[in-house]
Amino acid sequence: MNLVNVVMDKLRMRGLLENANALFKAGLIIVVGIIVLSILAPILTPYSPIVGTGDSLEPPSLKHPMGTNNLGYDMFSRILYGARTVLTVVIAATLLSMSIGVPLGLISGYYGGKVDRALSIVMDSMYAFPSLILALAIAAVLGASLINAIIAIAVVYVPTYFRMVRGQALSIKSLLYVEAARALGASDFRIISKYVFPNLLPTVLVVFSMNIADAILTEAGLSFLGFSVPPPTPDWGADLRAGHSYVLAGYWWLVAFPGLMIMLLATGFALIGEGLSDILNPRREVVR
Amino acid sequence: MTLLEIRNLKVYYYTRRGVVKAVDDVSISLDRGEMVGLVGESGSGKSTLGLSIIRVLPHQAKVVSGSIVFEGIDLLKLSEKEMRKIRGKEISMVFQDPLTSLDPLQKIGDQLIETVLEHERNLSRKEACEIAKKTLQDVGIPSERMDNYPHQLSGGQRQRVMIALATILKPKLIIADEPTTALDVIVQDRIMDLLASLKKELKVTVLLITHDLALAAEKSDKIAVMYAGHLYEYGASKDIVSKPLHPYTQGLIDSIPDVFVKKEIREIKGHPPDLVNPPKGCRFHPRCPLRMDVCSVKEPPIVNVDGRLVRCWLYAQ
Repeated sequence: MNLVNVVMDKLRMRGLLENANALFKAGLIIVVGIIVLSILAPILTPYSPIVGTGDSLEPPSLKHPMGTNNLGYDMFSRILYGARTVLTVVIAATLLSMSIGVPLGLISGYYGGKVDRALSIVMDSMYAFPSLILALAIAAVLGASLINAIIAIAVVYVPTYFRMVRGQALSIKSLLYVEAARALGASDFRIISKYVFPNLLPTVLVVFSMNIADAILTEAGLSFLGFSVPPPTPDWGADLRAGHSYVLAGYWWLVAFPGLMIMLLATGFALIGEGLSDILNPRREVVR
Repeated sequence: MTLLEIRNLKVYYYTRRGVVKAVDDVSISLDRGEMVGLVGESGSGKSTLGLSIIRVLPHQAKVVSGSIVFEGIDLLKLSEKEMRKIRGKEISMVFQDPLTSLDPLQKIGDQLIETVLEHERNLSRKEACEIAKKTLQDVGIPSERMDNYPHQLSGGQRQRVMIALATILKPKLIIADEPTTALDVIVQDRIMDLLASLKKELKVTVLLITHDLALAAEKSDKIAVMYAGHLYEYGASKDIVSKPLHPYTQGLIDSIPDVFVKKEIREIKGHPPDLVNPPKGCRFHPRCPLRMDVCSVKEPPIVNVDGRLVRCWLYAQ
């Protein structure tokens, strides 16, 4: 596909990995590490995450590296399998919201007029809500399930893509090469797909990975409040909630590990985003 | 033989300050295979005239009246879809700034190929690629450069690519809007020679929009002088340079510096008028050294003086 080639060329041209900065590398290590751990979960841990395999509230030991929870479930298994839940929900949700927000932003920014005004009003009023509150409201209406959590988070982040893409499309469409393309007979569709979209793709990539970081926190918030996957499905936010009443009694491992993982994964994606925005910034070339 | 006939064209910009009469009652016709230099100061409406021919005006601008007849078809009456078939294929455009008129993310080869495929849908990508290579060679760029991105080319090379884009479908009319303004003089000369040779080979008509009267005089067959939205003089380049009729044309010629002859450069006093409220009568009269009483009262008619069109009371009875 031509589009993919464009992105790959651009990335290769700048020697993505060779020239990647420390931020990007650190983020990549964290994220890839967690993804690999979650994939290898059945090999890394002998225990099922949803069956009691030890005494309740065992502290971390060689047998249970992160201890067990009040039901005797192995926390290490729950962390590994929980990563699957979190990654699935968050990546599916951001992909979904990107695939809605980007086209709408393109249409709105490129064509302008009444459609633009209507879409902008809707998106801006959605953007005005705090993301967790809006996700909570949607999840509460739809009910707690994996799919509904994905939908709720996706809806929340549509305006992020919409606003960014619309703004970029507005500025790109007034550039001379777009005018030149039109003067040579290009149709609107071709101008949008071949001239406008590839030029805003780097920004979309950056927003995408920043957005995942934010979505991880929203997902954790949703499941902490019980609006994501129903128990006993392993999920970091849900474990955090289950463990929080035991903290004062000294069972710190119930919240420490899920909390740490949420923080780590969110940081990883945020670092990738920061690093990407540096790498894809054309001004960087001047420095090199 | 007439290729393009513009009659009584009025293009106005509707801005917050008021209506800017950028092109006001301009009539001009271009013959096949000639290069016409459209000369004027910034804001004289020459670019607006060019953009209105292929109908890519900015959205504040509107064609108020007039007709643009290209090969017997009034372009202003075509639908957007029909117009798109004409752009690039029949009439194409070369823009002023080659640095920004190519998409930075597309290889130049891809931009050429896409332009061909947009108009010739039954061609395969391979065939389009061959046409692209050939066209690039015609404008003096080796075909290995197909895989380069615009930023890997120099300004002159990029303008050659723009010209390749404009000529790839063998259009009948090329509108070149200040094609060499952003380039240095030597590159400018080469690009102009390229345009001239393409004109000869492809028998294409070129409308060269420029503020450089000397350049237009040297390279084009005819010169049209625009001032404040009006066409003031139109005729063969030789005649216009050797014997300008309109005082404004005279002023433009007097203000061309000459490296070899030490002469006094006479400027045209004053500034071009505000096109929201243009002066009554002849729009040049406040700056005209030869103005008469009638000039500030009535707009001068266009008169034909020995095959040359001029809009001035000096020649009208």
